[in-house]
Amino acid sequence: MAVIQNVELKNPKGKLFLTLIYIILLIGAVVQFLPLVWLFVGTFKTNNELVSAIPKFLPEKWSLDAYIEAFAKYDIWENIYNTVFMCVSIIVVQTVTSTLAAFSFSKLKPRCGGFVYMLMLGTQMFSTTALLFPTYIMMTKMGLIGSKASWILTSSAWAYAIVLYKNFFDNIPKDLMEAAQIDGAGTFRQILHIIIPLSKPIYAVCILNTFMAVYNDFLFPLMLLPNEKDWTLMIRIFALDNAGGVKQNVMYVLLFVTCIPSIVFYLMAQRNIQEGVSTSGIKG
Amino acid sequence: MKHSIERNNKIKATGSHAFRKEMIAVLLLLPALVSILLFKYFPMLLGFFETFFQMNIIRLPGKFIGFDNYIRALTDSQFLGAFFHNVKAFCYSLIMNFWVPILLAMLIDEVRGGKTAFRLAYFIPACAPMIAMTVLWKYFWQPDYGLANYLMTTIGISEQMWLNDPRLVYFCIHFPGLVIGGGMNMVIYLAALQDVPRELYEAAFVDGVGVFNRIRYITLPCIKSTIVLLLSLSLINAFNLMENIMVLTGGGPANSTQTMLLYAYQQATNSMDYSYAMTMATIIFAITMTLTVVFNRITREKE
Amino acid sequence: MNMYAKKVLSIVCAIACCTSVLGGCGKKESADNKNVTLRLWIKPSQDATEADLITHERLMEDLTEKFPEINFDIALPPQGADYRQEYDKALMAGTAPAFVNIFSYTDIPQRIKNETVADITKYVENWELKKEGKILDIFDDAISDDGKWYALPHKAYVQATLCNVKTLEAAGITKENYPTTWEEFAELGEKITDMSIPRIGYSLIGMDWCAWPFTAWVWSAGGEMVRENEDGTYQLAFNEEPAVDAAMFMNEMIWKRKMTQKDVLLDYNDIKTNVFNGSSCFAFLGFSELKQEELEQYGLNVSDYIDMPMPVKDASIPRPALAGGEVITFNPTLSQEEMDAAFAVAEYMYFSDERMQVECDERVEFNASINVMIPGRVDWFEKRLASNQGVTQEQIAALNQLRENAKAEPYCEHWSDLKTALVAPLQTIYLTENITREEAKKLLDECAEKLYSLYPDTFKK
Repeated sequence: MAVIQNVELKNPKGKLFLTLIYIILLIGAVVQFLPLVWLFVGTFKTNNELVSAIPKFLPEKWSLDAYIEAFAKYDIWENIYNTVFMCVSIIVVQTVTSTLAAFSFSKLKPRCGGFVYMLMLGTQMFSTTALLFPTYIMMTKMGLIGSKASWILTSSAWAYAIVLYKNFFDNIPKDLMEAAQIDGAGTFRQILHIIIPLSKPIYAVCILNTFMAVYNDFLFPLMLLPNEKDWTLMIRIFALDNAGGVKQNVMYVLLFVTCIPSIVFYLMAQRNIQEGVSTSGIKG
Repeated sequence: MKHSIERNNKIKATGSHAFRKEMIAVLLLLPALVSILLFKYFPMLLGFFETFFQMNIIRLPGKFIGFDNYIRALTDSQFLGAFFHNVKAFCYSLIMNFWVPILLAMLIDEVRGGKTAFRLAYFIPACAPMIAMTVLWKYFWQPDYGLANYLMTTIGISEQMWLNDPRLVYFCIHFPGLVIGGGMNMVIYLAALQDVPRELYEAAFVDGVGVFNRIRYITLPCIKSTIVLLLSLSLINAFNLMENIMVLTGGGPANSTQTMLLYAYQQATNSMDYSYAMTMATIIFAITMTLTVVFNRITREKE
Repeated sequence: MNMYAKKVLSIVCAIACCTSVLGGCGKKESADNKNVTLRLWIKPSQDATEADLITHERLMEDLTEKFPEINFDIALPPQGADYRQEYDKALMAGTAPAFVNIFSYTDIPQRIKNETVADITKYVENWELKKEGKILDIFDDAISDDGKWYALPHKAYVQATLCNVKTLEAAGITKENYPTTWEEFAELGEKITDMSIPRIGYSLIGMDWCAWPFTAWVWSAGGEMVRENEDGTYQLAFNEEPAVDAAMFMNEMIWKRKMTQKDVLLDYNDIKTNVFNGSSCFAFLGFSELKQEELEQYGLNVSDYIDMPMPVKDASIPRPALAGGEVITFNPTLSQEEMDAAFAVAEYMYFSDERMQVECDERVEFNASINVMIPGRVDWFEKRLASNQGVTQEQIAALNQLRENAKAEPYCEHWSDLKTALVAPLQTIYLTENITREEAKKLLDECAEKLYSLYPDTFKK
């Protein structure tokens, strides 16, 4: 039940209207999926089929040559390892720093809290690209260029996540904490046994957001990690595309490989999608 | 006497307890605070500091030149041109992309069965990484063998240069947004639509208000705050536009899609003119900052 | 008021933070007195061939034997978008190698100005090989300034139009019928282009480097890009009639003759792929860019290509070719000892008879990639040429023909800025279907005016 009332659907005009909506949405959904399907099918084609002036939807012969070539020519396993490594380490570091800070803001309320909170909120205004060059210069002077630590450090705190955690923690009743305190639970115990179990949804959202941010980033890490052996999948794609001269079917394989994890991850966190996206819309 | 000592002790205990609590609070804040000061504020200030210098890459910070970089940026016709490219890109995104998720969300909200299925169907393609889709679309637009030209010839329209044509390039950049209809934003609008009180529709229907007027007078006002929020976000994003332009056209043809940030990036990487690049980044930061403040004002006044 | 105090406090904090970090970093540990460490970017990449690996191994053996006191830190050149950017980034990070052979000599005047190359005057002035006249001297003007030296010549190449004999034969064109004038070139190109095969008449470079081949086309119209004034400044000539002719001819090839790839802004590496896979008949590419291994993938050989000078606007103009080259530059942050060691190593690697001989032998041994460029040691040119396997006498004769009227790429200061500035007007001219001559000239005029006002010390009317 929405704008169109159920009663209206009983008359032919309403029925027609609803059918039209279904048709539009169905066509739209098919069109939406076409690029992805084309990408998937394209990974089984030869390069000549892809660059032919008269393209065909299905490959003449389903072959895995492009996969073999892509994995042989570029160290994709290493890229995947790097991607996983960076995602996991940044998620861990960020979750820890944000949880601690948010807990402090929300439950301990230090005297300087308000000011520090504003300071952190302020970083949400900084665009990553404005930070790009100075961060690069700073990292060169610290001798951290080419070390994965540089990327982990620069993303070790995200004000947006802190805000989300704090808002969520604010809704956890204080009585629970006090009860725990009386039982002799220290700060870390309180966080581990009360806060985290009660805040699972927001953790799902924040982790998903961090994952997407790290997974999709390429410009910043490319500056910080110039060596091929440190590249994530996304940097690999960007660098290959930038250099040109790559066989298209090989590129299709790479593109397809990068699409899988993000789609799978979203489907896994599906229950929290609505919440996650609607809150991430505010990140700015 | 005894009583007073007891009281004194109690005060001491609570005092040290409060101090301890304060210490823990600060301690817990510290990692995030240090990280933000060191990796957000410090680079920001360093960048701002460098804008007053002609940077020498071997010996920082270089030669002090005062406001020369700012004067140069504001008189640089290419930078001003880039500003208009940003504005143009925003206009195109308004025309071609902005309304798509609103419409989709409304349509999906009307569906009686399979709402979740539709939501997912539109959401999954939007999960694909931006750069992967951009590279794929670049292949579609390729004039020699791209799908776009093939489709054009099959329906009998002459072949186009797409991304190589200054008249079509903005269309090509924003077209994927029309097809992959902003699944992320669609979910946000869908959530906003759920909050519209259903009784209003019912009452309006009883009063004989037609479907389109119901949308106009009930739906749109109710989700207005979401629309304004996403509009302001897309405006801010428009001024920070760079990555997908870089992949699609690299600023070409003939610099017609060179955005401000892309120009700054190219100045830094191609000519090693970091201080000039940071000057431009600072100006862009100032622009987005102003926009955010203005938008906040407007929305707050409305409320 | 309270808010204001907080703001001030925060700024003070941030500045304090800045200065403490700035003070804390930037110190480098000094090298051991006995062992000088030299970083070199010569490590073979992941997809190096067997031959590359063996060659590298041997070089390292030679180096460690020859220079026992030097510690070699062998690194892989960064795989970024552009070697210049990568080098500058490394320089900034303090991880740049002791010397590199990647820069075009045209970059050097600019680099002298922004101090990113080391002064090597004292080595060059006492260099025996140079006194004996064994060192390539065509770059001398570009790499020295005010009697000081900043680079050593590495190699010189000539390029104009690379023709794919096999593809042209398939189109019914034999070597005798290769075009010599623009008119012939355009007619032939129009006739043989057929995208369904695909066969592209001319692979036109319209991407960011378009001003580079455009230089050769301007020469072939009898014009110049820049002209030196008496006072050492340069007059811009790319808006004069011959250059407009050249730009209009490009436009004609794209739109009227439809003899180029449709994607005018195609990446340089993709153009190279088109040349390697035989779909392109003519292209602005150096002979030494051909790689036998890659060609074999597409069933082609180095012997299927031949060089041809640029076609000219009318037969009275000598057919030009563009000469370019790369030089060896040294890292300006090296200490005195490191510099001494670096020069000795560079001299051994690129200029010693021993290494030159090894290089020739290895080319024969591995049937390695083609190298028909003039080495820094000019006296070894003939031997190097002879060591190329599978290069025919005919191809060498064609190369020599190129050399006859070859002109060096101008090397004035801001030359690369000029090339960058030309990209937008050139792309506009190339991509606008019905552009008139006047409009094209106006675009070039505007670009010239802009350059005159931006760099008044270098460009003067």
